[in-house]
Amino acid sequence: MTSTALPRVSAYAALAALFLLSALAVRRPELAVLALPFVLPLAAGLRLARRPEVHVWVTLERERALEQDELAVELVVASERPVERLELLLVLPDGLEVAAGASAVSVRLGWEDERTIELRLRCVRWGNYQVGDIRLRARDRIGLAAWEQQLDRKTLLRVYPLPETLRRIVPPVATQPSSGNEVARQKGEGLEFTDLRDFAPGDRVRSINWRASARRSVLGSELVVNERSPERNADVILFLDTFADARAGGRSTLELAVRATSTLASHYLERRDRVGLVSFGGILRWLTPGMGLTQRYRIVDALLESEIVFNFAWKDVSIIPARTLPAQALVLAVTPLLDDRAVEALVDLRARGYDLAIVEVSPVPFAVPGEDEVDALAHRLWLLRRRELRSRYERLGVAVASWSDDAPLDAVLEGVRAFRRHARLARV
Amino acid sequence: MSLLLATGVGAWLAFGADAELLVRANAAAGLTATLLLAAGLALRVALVLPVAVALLGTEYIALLAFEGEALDTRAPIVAAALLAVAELGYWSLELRGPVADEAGTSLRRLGLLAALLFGVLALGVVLLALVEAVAAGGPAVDLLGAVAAVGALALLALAARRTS
Repeated sequence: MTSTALPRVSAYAALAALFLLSALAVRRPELAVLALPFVLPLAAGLRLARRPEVHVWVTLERERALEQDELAVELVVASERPVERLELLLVLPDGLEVAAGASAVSVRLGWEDERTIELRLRCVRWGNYQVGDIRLRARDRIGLAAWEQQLDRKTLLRVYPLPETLRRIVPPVATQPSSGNEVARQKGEGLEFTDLRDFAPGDRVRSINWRASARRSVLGSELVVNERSPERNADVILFLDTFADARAGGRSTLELAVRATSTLASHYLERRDRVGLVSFGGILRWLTPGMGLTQRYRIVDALLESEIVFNFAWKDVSIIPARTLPAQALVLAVTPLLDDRAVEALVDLRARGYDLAIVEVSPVPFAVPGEDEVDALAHRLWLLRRRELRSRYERLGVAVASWSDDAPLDAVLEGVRAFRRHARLARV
Repeated sequence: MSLLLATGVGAWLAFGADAELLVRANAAAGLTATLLLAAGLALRVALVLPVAVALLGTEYIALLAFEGEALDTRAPIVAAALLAVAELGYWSLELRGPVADEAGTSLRRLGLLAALLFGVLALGVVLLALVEAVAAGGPAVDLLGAVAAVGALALLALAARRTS
């Protein structure tokens, strides 16, 4: 612990000196009495001051939480010697706030005493947080000396983004051989009825459609059988653009993008699809496609580490490992479309034949036009340029849905689904 | 509380003087001390507190320097009042900090302050009595001097033993 003398020491010493000197100058002993209240605490305080030895433990209620969740934090303070006043401050990182209790408290500890301080934290924003940066300040009885210490009792707290409500997702065009929830375009063994055809040797009897066969037998035709489509899974690559973001008032397009990506990943994984992640930005991060709960945690944990890292190097899709982008995968890009490198990478992916859809996290609400005419004109030109960019993608057969915080993600994805129903055959 | 006490002490010392000029001078010093204290507390500047206390003390110094030859018995009360002004001022500043005190802290501190003030009053009275006795002279003073000398030597010996 680092010891410091509080301002009272110098103040009282100066006052005592003033009154004692005055007593000598004026030759009045009463003034020496005036110095007494300032000399006495100084002498007693400095004599009794002892360096405290304090131990602190921090316990979090749980290590994982969702945005807007509240969780309890327990601080246990113990000391073998008495501490008259121990000020304890739990420094909270941005994104966490105190919901109940106080992060700065003072306690008094006796001989071999222990105190438990409880407070509740609210997780304001998703992210990985280290909770446990503690500042201690102990003071002596009279308030003349203080001892300060910074303790590192950090525990990792993962705050996951709050999922958006989503009823339907964007269906992929192509499916994979493994079974899943997506009705494949190919015909085969499955539950979903697709078509009727004439009976052929080798067809199962249970696949005969007797009603249709009865109607055809009137016309002198043979038996007909049901054709079905199998339920398959799909490969879905979530492409998160982390080149740039727009920020305003503690909100950012990256924050929304991570929330959308996390929601999409959860929904695709629930459908037993293989989901991968490419975080394309200043730092390239990827996760090869996988299934199940483990993959879900992998993806969300990777998303929590997403950040904007400014980098001026030109990057294209060739730097993404090939196994991360399987053939016939649906690439679902979540991007603010602010950086040319991300824009061109998406065009490149489409040109390489990937089934691509874009959820544009709109930066428009974050960019308020200036008050003068030139600023307003620049803002309008920027909006026009963005509209032209979306048209460019649409001409390539890529659905682009613009999403901002005030609209549900489900409604935005409905726009993507509607576009893909009609533009499916578009070619680059 | 600190501000009220400072105003009271300032006024008491100002109107305790007989000469018109001294009353005015002390009143001005008392007013300045009160204003300084108010500003210091409002702006949370701890440095101003001893200056205000020193100004109040200056009133008493002036009073003793220019008026009254006899031993002033008000000294312990003035001393305790000045300490109270300073302590309450520092307390007021600490209360405005972000740290939440646990229950009972204020009562404990109030008790400590009261004990300190009582100690100052008692010691002040003893000191004044000693001064009076010294002024009167006699064997009691000689005895006290001898005890003080032995005490000082004992303190020195104790300090030397601790350092070795």
